[in-house]
Amino acid sequence: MEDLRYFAEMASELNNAEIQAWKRAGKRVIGTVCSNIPEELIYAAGILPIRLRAPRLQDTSSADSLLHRINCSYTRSVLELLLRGELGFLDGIVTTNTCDHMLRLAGELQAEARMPFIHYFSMYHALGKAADEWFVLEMEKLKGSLEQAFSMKISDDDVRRAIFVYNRTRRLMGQLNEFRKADPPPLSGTEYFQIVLAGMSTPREQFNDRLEALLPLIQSRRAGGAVQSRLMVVGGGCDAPEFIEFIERKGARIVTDGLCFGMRHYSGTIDENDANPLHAIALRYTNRAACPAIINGFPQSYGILSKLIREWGVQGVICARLKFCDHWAGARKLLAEELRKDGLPLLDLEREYSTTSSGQMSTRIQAFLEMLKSQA
Amino acid sequence: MSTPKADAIERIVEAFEMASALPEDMDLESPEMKALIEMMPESRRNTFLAMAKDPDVRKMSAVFNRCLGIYWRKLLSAKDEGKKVVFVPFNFAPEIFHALDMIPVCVEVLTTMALTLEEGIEPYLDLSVERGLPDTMCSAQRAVIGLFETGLLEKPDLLVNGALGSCDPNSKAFEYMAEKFNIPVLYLDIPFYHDKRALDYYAKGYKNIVKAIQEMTGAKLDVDRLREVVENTNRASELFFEINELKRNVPNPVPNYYNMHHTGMKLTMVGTPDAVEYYQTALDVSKDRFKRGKSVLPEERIRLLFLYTGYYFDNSIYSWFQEEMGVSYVMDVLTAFDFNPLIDTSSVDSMLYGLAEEMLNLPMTRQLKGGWDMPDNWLSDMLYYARTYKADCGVFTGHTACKQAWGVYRLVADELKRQLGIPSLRLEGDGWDSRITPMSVIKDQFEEFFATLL
Amino acid sequence: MIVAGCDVGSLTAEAVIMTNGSILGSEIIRVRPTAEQSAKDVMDKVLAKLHLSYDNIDYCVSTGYGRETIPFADSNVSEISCHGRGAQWLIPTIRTVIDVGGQDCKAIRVDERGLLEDFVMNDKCAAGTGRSLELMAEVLGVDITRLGPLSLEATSPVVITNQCSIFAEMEIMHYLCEERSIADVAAGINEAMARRVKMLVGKVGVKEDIGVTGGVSKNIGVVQYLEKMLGKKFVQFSEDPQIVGALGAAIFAAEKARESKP
Repeated sequence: MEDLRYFAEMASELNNAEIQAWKRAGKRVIGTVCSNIPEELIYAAGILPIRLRAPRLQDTSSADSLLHRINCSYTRSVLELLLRGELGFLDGIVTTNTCDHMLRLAGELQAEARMPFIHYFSMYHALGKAADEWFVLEMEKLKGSLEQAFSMKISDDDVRRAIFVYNRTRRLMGQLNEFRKADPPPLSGTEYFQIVLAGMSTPREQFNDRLEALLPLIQSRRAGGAVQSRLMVVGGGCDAPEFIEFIERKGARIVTDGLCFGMRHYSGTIDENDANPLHAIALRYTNRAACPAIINGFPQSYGILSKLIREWGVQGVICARLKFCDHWAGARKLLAEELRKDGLPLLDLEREYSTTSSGQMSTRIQAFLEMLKSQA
Repeated sequence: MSTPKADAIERIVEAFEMASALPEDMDLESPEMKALIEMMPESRRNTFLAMAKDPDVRKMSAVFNRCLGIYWRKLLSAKDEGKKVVFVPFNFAPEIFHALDMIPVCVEVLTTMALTLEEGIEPYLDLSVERGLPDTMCSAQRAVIGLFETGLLEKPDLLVNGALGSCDPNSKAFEYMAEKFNIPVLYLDIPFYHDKRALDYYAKGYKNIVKAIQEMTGAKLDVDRLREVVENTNRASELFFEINELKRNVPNPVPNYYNMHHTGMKLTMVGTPDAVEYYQTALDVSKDRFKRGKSVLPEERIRLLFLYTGYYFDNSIYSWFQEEMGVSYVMDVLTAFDFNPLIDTSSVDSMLYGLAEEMLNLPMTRQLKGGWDMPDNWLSDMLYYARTYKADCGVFTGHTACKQAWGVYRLVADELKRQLGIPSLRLEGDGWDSRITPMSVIKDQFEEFFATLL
Repeated sequence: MIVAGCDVGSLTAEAVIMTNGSILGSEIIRVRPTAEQSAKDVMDKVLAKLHLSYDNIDYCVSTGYGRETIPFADSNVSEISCHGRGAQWLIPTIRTVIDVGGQDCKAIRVDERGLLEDFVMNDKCAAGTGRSLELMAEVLGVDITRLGPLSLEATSPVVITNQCSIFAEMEIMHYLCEERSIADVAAGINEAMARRVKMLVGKVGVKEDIGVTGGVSKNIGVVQYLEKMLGKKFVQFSEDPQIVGALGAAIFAAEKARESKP
């Protein structure tokens, strides 16, 4: 579909044409490493936040000599980009300590990056009132750092305007997701992920307009083809549309997900009428399906995922988790046990960040799909 | 292995009670002793000999083992006496539980003690993986989870998941224990920073936990009892500060094995009179050694700083350093308690705040949360310890599960070299699982490294 | 109707020819440089033996690592499904299949139709695979086929504790230096292998009856240790357990042939 090509292109490069145009207009770009970092606040400063990714990067040998092989391949890939000078277009990076890997990446970025702005965002690791409050304090700190580094002021109205823009994306993404309930869905999982990634890598207002224009085209699209297994993908560090395509080529449709590079990035909206906009932002972040690094977040996340499973008619779940990610490895076990109660199988796929296909993975996915069919 | 049927704690306690009978005039060469030692499984034999060979170490170990035996025996009667048992991670100070008349069990210490089981901890490590945990998670918690799976370890009444933000595998293991075995759990988050704002957030979380424990268990916090406990803690701190002073001497009179005891004490019994007794004994022994000019044998050649943790699966390495290699093991991150504050005992509030401050400065929490090169973090501490205890070299033991440490040791080691000229050895191995890197290989690597220094 | 199943693995390739629900013949070869070549050679061999040609085959299903690159296959099925299906066809009461091949190890649970219920596959290193046994046998200086029988002669088996293959090799050499008997060391190697497999099997849970397939199933030492660890007896196959994957593929081929030519 011609209109989707734009999204695929934007998704395929970090420093894509839109980013380059934004920079040419004299505006700033800040990279973020985790979907828990509140983008709205950076956007409120007139700076474009983009989620750091390393499309198609295969070799991380420079980063491997700084971080260690037991640090996850997502963090090693981001560091590799920096070491290769491919993040030179950034005006800053907001790092965090969501997990041990992120924490160490933060240290390396701080040591290696030659940028005017490197900020540590101290993440909460347990949901609750204390986390909500802490998150507000950390946003205030981030706001202060941005103001100081770039000699500017961020007003409450700036924050509200950013919330409005980001809420609009979330509503549009919600509509797009609704289409995926159809059987078969009018867009593939691969296409969906291209849109998702484009949203993280382009100026948001432009993206919103593009997405709004795309929705009716998707809706009227006639989806054909054989009935295929409807799958959900969960896991971490999973942002390659090629990987989703690899699964779908085996005869499946990814109809929903629990990825921070997917549905979770756009779920929930922020209360636009809250007197304290930072507080409103905090609630949106702490109320969504939590990353398993948020240690007491499993019941909340499972509640959200099981609703998706029911409403999107999911027949099987693939957990695509990064090697050495203890958080997802642990969550995978808890999730599999809960799903088993509902008779829903889970396929555990341990992978490296850059892996989009492999013989072993192919066998497992194929066997999983054969199992779904035979037990249907 | 045929699965043993007997309760794990009971067998651990027996081992420690046996090892507390270490008379000063013990003759390891006597036929009876030789026969007894021969009967022990290898790892237990090595640990026993590490404690028994040197009469000074024997004296300290006797007190340590006796206290630990008594302490853990309480676990066996906890149910009958209506005492609540709570499992905590390495960075949760035990004092509050002593004050509430509950029994705190540090999971990592439990794993270390479980190494004395005849069957070792390996079957339990494997079982935890067989039941679904990844083997990339830390052996120090997987052993306990494996023991739960077999039913050889009674479930506690409560878990405190308190390493959030300082150790992923630990936090995940506690979450898993809570969900899988249906144990009530409380959470304590650790922020990135080490400033007043961060301490306030942490202390608030800690106070909430203390409140929740009382609500959940019906226990009531009594100010006088808390003060008694905290005063014991302060007394213990003063004593081990003094021991640390002695460590600065060249040669260092403090036996290497003290480091093992110190961590074990601090994470379980501190706040009790027994801990005070132990530190007093260790101080007396060390002072006496100082007077007599005693140090490692044949003479102190190397002062070694562990940039992170030690090895626990075979403690013979410490007596090997002590009695054969002339290596003084001056400090490791798990014994790095120099920044423990003395706690203000004027009110419940001041004591709880002080305990929170203590906890934020406990080993690993202090060094592993936040940025490695920030003030009061890993690098600054290693520089301090290397200078203060006059280390000649460092070693990173490279515990397999520790993504945290592996992600940054190189930077720390490079800075030590750059700023102080101290070289470091990088090893790979597991603190608790003997099957990852065998002790013989570890010793070979140490020997090669030491040869380059002498 | 004549159908074929062709299984190209990492160390060996197998082909099975069936007609009307019975096996006409089978062959096993060492793999060639490419999956395509292996498939062709093993098929050529079995077809020659049966005096058949490719034209006689109504439907062929390929499986194994090379399954997607075999030109004469009409479709492919994963080796996990094929092992389950083949094993259950041979012994209808089978519910768990443990397949220990050259480069991986799988535990497969099937239902009463031989269809997949659950499975797990190792994803770590060579440890716990046929390849690691080959390496250990090399250190021991014996042929891989002798590891099993030797192990039965052991009087006091050694304990191999190290998980990493390199350290395990060192351990073996250490035992040899101590002049422990080859039989005792062989038994230790088999026991360590069984331990690894048991850990994997535990993840999927065992349901009886249980059968073992793949190259390692020929090692009586590993099989006996595994039976002891699981506390269960394994059922015996009437056919060479190494052809079970290809057999499963042939059974799927028969079904697919019926579906495509009603």
